[in-house]
Amino acid sequence: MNFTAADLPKVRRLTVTWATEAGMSVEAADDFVIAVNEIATNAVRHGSPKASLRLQVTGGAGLAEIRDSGCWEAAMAPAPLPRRPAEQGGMGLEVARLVCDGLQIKATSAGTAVLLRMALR
Amino acid sequence: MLSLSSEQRGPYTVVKVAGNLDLITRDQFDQFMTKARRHNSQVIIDMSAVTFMDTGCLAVIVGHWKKLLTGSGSLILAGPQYRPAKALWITGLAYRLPLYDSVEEAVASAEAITPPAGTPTLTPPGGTPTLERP
Repeated sequence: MNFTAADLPKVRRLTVTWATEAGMSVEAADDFVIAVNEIATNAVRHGSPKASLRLQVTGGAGLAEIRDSGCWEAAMAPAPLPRRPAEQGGMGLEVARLVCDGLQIKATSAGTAVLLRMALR
Repeated sequence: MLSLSSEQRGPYTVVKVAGNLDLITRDQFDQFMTKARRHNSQVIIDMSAVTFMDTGCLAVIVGHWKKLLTGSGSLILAGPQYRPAKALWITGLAYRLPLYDSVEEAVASAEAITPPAGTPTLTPPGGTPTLERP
């Protein structure tokens, strides 16, 4: 689906329904939604106003691919950025990394794609 | 998607948050908290009706907490539910921010810390913030 910031609640609803139907446990589906929401938020906030989400099952895992057509600093950085005080934000990528089984960033000048992986039970 | 209201409870301004705390509602929440903070340096956020919270809004909460602490005020979180407010636990901030199960407990804990002048205190002050994961 294509989405803008206004669609974030829809992104979360779609993701939780999809994750549950794909066979994720309740806990894993909750975490997957948190990760997708954080990356989708980064995409529309720091990347481009319009972004896209694709969900698919591959090799016993649920994959979410979030693409935007911009460049966000945290994704382009060659090394992890230094930790900032919590009130300055920037926790989203770290949280997504923590709760998912895998996270891959493909950042080019044409845009950013983040792939999230969550094992199915 | 977000409903905000505030009321006075003893020395506290209680900000009641109902709905989603995300990118869409973040500025609205931040502005409401700024007003509450300017009105009173003792603030409780009633989070029992939060249906989702992202890390951006958690950052807003931490920002107001730190500003209140700097001014000798306080910010207490009351009643956050584990599933919708899981960002609190994932980031570990649930173990740093003052957190109580309900507004009543938060208010009671404050009364235990600052009893009216002349009241003898027979129980240890403070109360124990609830930190366990459900």
